[in-house]
Amino acid sequence: MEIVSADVAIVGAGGAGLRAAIAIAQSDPSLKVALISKVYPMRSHTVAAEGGAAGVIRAEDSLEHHFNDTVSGGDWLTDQDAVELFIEDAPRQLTQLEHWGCPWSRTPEGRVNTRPFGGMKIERTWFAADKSGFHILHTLFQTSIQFESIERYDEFYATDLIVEDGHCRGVVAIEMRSGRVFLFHAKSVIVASGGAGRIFPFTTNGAIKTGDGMAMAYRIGVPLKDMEFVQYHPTGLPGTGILLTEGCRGEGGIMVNKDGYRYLQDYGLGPPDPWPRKKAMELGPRDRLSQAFWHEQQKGNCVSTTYGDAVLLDMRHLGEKKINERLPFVRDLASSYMGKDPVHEPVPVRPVVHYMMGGIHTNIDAATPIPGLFAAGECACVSINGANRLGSNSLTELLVFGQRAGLGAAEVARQVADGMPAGVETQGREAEARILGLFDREDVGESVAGVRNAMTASMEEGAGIYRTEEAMQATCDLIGQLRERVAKVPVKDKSKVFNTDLMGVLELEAMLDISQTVVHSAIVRKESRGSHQRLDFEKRDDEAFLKHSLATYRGADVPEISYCDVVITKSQPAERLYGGAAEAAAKEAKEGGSGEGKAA
Amino acid sequence: MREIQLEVLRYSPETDSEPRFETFQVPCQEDWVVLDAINHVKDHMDSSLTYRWSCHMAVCGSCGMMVNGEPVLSCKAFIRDYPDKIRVEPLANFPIEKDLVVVMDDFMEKLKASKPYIIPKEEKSIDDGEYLQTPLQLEAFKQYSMCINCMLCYAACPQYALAPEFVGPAALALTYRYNKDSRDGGKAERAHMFSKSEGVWECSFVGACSEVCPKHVDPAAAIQLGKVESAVDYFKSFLMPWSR
Amino acid sequence: MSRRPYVREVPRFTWWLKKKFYTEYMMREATCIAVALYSALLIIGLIRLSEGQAEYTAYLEAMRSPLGLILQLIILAFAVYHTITWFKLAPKGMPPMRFKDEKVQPKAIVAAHYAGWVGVSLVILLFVGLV
Repeated sequence: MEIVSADVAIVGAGGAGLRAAIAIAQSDPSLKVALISKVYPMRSHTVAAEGGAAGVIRAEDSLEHHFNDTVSGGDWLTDQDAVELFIEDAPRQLTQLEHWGCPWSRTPEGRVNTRPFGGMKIERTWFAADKSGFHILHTLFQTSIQFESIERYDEFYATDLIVEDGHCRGVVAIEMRSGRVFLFHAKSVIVASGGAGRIFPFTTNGAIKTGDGMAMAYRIGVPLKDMEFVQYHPTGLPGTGILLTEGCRGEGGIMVNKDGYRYLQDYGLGPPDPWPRKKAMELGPRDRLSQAFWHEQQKGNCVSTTYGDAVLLDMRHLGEKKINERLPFVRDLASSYMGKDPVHEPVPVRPVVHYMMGGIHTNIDAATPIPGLFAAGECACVSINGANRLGSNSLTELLVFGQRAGLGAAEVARQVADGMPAGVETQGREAEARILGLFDREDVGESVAGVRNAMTASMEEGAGIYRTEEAMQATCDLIGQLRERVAKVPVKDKSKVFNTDLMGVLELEAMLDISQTVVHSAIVRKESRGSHQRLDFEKRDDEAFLKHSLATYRGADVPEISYCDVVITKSQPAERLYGGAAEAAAKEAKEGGSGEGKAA
Repeated sequence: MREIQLEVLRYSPETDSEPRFETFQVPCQEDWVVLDAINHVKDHMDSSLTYRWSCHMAVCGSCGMMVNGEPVLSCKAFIRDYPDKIRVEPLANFPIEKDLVVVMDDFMEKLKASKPYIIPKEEKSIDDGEYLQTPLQLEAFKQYSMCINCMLCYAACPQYALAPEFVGPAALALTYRYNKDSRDGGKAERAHMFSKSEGVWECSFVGACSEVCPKHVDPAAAIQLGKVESAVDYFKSFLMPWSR
Repeated sequence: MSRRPYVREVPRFTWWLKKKFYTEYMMREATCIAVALYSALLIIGLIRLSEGQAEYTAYLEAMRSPLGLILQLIILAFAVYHTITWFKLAPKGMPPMRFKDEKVQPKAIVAAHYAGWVGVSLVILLFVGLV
């Protein structure tokens, strides 16, 4: 076992991990940062985000609007103190990226341009054509290169977090290219390892998004918060699950069923005209749009494709020039992978698993309940996303909370004394022995693909867009069995060098732990809220469930589910209204003398 | 359903003295890409097959490999465009770590040395807002900022094959991208990598990099324009020594 | 250490035969010799002209002989290949240009080169009285 000492160890070099690393390097260059990632930073999944990042910049917009959109978009399960902090810092963070060279799209005057996204009152999404995540990630990565105090460990697969005397003191990771196990001994640790969309069969998420960091934190006793809330993005390509950004609709694209009818008007988002307009129809929130698809499917209004039912995203009226300027990547993706050029044809789309609102339980400083351990980005749950994340808040989130995690971890590192407690190395050796032990498993016919496919199919069945007690129970049972089966999956590749077979087994273990928290958190939430919709409990129940769920690890047993309070500062829970209904309510509120935007 | 013969170059450093081909019969869906066929092998035939991949939408840059001799992103190489026999090899011009995984340390070091980040022309506080940059100024470098670091250009470049000290297409294009950014003032600091003989002047303008680039970055153009600028700067330093 | 990265050898002298694209590149580079050769022929002609009428007539006759014509045809073919391949690359060597608020497309740059070629050829043909 190799031992590396650092002041702060960061697991994950996507948007949040890089932002954290830069924050530490800028605030205190004397602190040594070990940036550990299972892929090269530019492969991290931040790269795949398309549409943009939200931050109030337009004169007609206000922090109040961003706050209200976010809180109501999250069905009031957001912590409002966190949201306030988030929206206030958002424009600064996006401007900082601009100073670092991010090629944001511009107005003719040279200012940063914005576009509207779903559930948004004023256009506040900063975008770099339709490759915003790509540009944000590469800007952060390239900026990070200049800091000598950031030592990168690319293609190191982290397996364990080490807690000694109740304080997080390190990370165990496998160097992929050599198979050597490394112990990163640190004074504080940040987990920024992304989400776990891969627990579902159809997802916009890349292969690397297996929830490793969430699982590591969970196994050392940090609760995973609000795991039942899984976001379906309404416009993914059938089969591959490739994302077509919400920007398609932000720019004016419409969604129709097999009869060419704009079906969203039947689900509380209409009337359809005038179009485009904010917070209505195609620019409703993601959960509502995905749920509307499910209903259309039940009614038999979908078009059928090789990969099942779909609806149509029609962008033809935008014209070739606008599509080429604003949505070139979408055009390329739809043409190549679907054979449909959006300039000439509508593109079949369906809801696809996109984002985990839940994650590692942190406070507004990105700190977990375990001292010295921080988390940021999709793997964390602060929570600003509540029961349904607003499109384009996640890219901003990883900047705001990535920086906070970095500053918090730096502060802790300055307080912890030098030297490695003996127990850290002992734990490292135990982890190493466990990893090497995986090679000794006998082949009893289990395989990574076999267990994984059973898991993803069951998650879709039990924890999909609409959920029932019965289906969720079946998934709970199956995931329990799969956790036993995964312990029998052999590592057939016996080589030390770049063993992706070994990594596959470890990732699968993580995914099963995460799947279990999702479905167990979901089955006890007997209400419908945001992305968690139950056919057997159709109403939101604030009395019983206006609280965050916390799933706590209990080894081979199922997780324990408990709850904690939601922080409410100024917006009391109200009905979520979009389209004409929202406009009418706003008008009424105005006539009644109270300011619009203040939720009743 | 179509059955293809997938010939994969395998190399396991602990057991093979040199790489060898192994053939798999893979049943493919009509709309599959080469990566799907490789995933099928890993899932159902040989779990030890080693390669990199993630996004499956041609933006993360992980899955570059040689398919029938050409460097491509395997997630965007459609089976329908190939004959029944498909040969897959690790990216050319890089050392093979294992199977389809190559060692790309060389690029990472060159990228770092190239200083691919804004060195501000004038410092500005965040509180003063963004730098103004017109759409025209953006257009001057936008294309060169699209590089996903997939390494296809290095695999296509015969110059890099023969002279590994060549900084290479992607790193030079990214340097040019920052040199051309209206917010940047770091051109002189980057000249040590850019304007030297292992920089733009090592390029003999084969142009293969731009042919294989999946993101239309056109590194060959960046390098040729870089040569012009480098030459102009050189003569300027003689004729107008005060302009330095 | 279990790592043992394998380096594939690149054939130093025959690499350009492996791919059509590389071969075409070598052709493009090699055909510059034809251009040089023709320049040499012209210079020889000038020297002969300076030496006197008889020498120049001999030179012209040599150029008109079957061998001379074949040589010039081969040179012409190579020079045309050289020109066309360089025209194809021209857009990569040009700084970005704009015309009427639109970016000038690579195709237009190549077309302008061909137009220039035709134009210059016409002027020369006019000058020597062939048109």
